[in-house]
Amino acid sequence: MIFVTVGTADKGIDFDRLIREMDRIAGRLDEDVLIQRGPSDYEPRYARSVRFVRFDEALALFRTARFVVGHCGAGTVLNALRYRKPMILVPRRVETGELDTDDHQLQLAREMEGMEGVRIVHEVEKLEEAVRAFLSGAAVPPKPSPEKDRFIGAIREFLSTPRK
Amino acid sequence: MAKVALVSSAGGHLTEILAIAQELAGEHDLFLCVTNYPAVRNMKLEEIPRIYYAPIFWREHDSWALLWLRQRIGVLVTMVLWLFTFARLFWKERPDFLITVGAEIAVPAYLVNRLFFRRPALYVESLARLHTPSLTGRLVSRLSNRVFVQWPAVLPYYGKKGEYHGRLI
Repeated sequence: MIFVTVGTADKGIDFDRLIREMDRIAGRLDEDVLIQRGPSDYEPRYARSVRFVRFDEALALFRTARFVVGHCGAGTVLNALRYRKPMILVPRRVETGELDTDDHQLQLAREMEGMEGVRIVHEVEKLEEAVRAFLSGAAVPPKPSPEKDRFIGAIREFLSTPRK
Repeated sequence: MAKVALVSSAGGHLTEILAIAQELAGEHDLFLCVTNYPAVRNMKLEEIPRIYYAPIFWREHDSWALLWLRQRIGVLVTMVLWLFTFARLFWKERPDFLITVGAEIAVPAYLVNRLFFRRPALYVESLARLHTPSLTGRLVSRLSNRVFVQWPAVLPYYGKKGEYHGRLI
C-alpha cells in the first residue's frame, strides 16, 4: 500500500494538485493507494480515500505503508521517519494557494534534498516516474541523522539538571 | 528517572513531541497533556501510556455565530479555563520537568508552572519554523528556562535563551 497524505494542519487548505495526480497514477498501478485527502473536494476515482483519520490511525497507516507520498510538512516527514518509510515529498507553495503563511515547505524540502530514502518532487508531472522508481526498488529506508542524536542528547542533558 | 510533562496541541506539534518521547520512553516517567480534539480522543500511544486531555469548550459543529464569538473572545476565555486545568493537573502529578513544542495549550500550562510550580521548562521551536519564530514561541519562550530551536536561522530571535543542538530529522 502507498499512503498518500497532505497533512491535517495548514488550517484546512486543500492540496488538489497532489491528490488529483496521485489518483490518476493509482489508476495505472497494481499497488493499492490510500489517500488522506483532507479538505479537498476532489473525489478520487481510482485510489481509496479518506478525508481525515484519527492521529493514531494515521500512525498505523504510516507503519503498514510500503512508502509514503506526501506534502512536505514536518509532521508527515517525522511520521515517515518514525517507521523508517521511504518518502516522496511534494512541497506546498504559497504562490499556488497551497499554504497561507510562508514557504516553509519549500525551505524544508531544500534542507531534505539528497537525504537517503527521500525524494523531493516539485512538479507533479514528475511524480509518476518517482513512484514507479520507488516501486521497482529505488526506495530505501531513511536513516536517523546525527543531528537527531545531538538533539535528543541535548534534551537528555536538560532532563539531568539536578532538582533545586 | 524524572517525571516529565509533555504538553502539546493536536496535529504536527504532537508528532514532534512523540518523536522526542520515542527516544525518552523507558528512561523517564512521561505523561502527555494534549488538547481534546476528536482526532486524538481516546488514542493509544505506545511511548506514552498516560494521556491527559485539556477540554475544549466548544462543540465541533457550533453555529457560525458561536464560531464568530469564539474567534473573538473564546480563545481568551479558553486560556483562562485552561489555567485551572493545568493548576489541578500539575498539583496532582507534580512533574519535575516540562517540555513543549507548542501550540495553544502550552501558554496556560507554562504560565501555571511559572507562577506556582517553577519546574525547569523547555520550549522546543517547531521543525516547521526554519527562519522565523512562531507566535507560541514568542509567548512561551518567556515562560521557559531554555529554548531549543531546530534551525540555526531562528536563533537570533530568542537572544541569549536560544540554543541550537541539531534537530529531529
